[in-house]
Amino acid sequence: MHIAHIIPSIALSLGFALSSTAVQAADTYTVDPVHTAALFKIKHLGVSYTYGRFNDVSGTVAFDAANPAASKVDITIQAGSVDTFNQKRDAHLANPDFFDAKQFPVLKFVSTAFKKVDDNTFDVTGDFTLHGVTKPITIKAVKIGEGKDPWGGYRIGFESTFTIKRSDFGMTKMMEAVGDDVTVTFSTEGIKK
Amino acid sequence: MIDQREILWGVFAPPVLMAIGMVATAYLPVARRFLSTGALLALVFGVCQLGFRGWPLPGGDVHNWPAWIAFAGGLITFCSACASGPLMWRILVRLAITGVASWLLLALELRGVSASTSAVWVISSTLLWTVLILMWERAHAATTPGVSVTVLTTLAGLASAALLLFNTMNHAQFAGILTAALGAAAVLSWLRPAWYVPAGPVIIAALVLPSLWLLGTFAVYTGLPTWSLPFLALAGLAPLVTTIAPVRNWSAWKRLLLANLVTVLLVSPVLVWGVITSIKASSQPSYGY
Repeated sequence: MHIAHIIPSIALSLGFALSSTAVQAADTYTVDPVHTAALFKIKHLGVSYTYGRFNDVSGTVAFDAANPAASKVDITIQAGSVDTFNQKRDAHLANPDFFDAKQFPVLKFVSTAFKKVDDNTFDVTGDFTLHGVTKPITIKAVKIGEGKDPWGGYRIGFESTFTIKRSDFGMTKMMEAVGDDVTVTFSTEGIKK
Repeated sequence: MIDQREILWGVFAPPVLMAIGMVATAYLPVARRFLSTGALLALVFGVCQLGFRGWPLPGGDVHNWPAWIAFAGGLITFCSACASGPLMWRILVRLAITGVASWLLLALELRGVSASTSAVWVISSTLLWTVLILMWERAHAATTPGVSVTVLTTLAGLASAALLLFNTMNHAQFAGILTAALGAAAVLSWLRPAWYVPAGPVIIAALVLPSLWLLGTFAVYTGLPTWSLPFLALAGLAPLVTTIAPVRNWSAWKRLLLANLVTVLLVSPVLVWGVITSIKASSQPSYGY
């Protein structure tokens, strides 16, 4: 091969290598609020679970399949959107006795580490903010799937279930009647930007 | 279903500490020198509210401010010129406290609002609150200590009920702390009238109750309706009814009863609306806890 052909060949090869690396960098997905659920359950009088959800969720997921450690999650939930299917209870939950949504309007989770457990399971460590208190937690996130949607977009889905103690975040009202452990299920579908 | 800290600081400590303080100031010259009834009420309310909340440091949580506002009110009662000196001085001191208190308590409502609008809110609240304090002081000075303390106790109790009906249990419990302390003062003042000096407690009640009303209206997601505030404020003027002829010639217990009845009547629209909205919101069966 003549040197005049080698250099362009090298350049082309480098170009392909770089572009394929760019395709495999973290893809950023915007949380689709219509296909995202932020649910919780908490014990009532020690005899049953009361369920609720938050109706206003937003955020982004930057997922790098080739290098999961480079992935990032940033989720924001509006505390005042709490919904336990009872209007009076929801008003009370949003007030200072519980979420104090006017003083602490958002719940947030911002990841600080993303560790692959297997192809579809990841340990995600991040700062969780609730009631104005921020604490590090680690949650196990499962990738449900990904693929093209009928409208030309590309989507990915994750789900995680984890438990926190509300007292760790300064929510200590009515501990005898309403449990301390809150099990959260967060299921999200992200649309690639 | 209430935790022990809340029972201790919300139910037992206020009347016990108030009673101990009043007895101490009656029999110990040292205590009498430093603790007027008003200063004692401020101390008892402030300590009990902070104990109830787990001894938080100042700042950080807007719902802890009533304790510090009460302490500031206690300083007024400690300073005789501030409590009963020249009018301009008294006005300035009250403006200073209500100004800072308004700014602190309205902070959440004024998030994201322009500086000029915030200034209008804070200045309006400061002026109205200062007028309220001066009018309550005047109304309670015109009547007997017994009427004054029972009206304040009744008003604090009804305010607690109103706050509870509008979904702010914490604020209701704070008003309950004030009710319990004033209740102890009311009982002791009936047994030993000389132990109770009404001027100071009026100032403290006129600082603490509006603090809770402001928090219960503007620092919550849904709370007291704004229209309820004038009714609650007017209820503090109920003792004036005992100065009208021929009421002023009635027997003591009749004047006491009338003043408290007027207090209840003035707060009743707020309570009635609270019950109505509770029933409407609870179209599902009561959820209990």
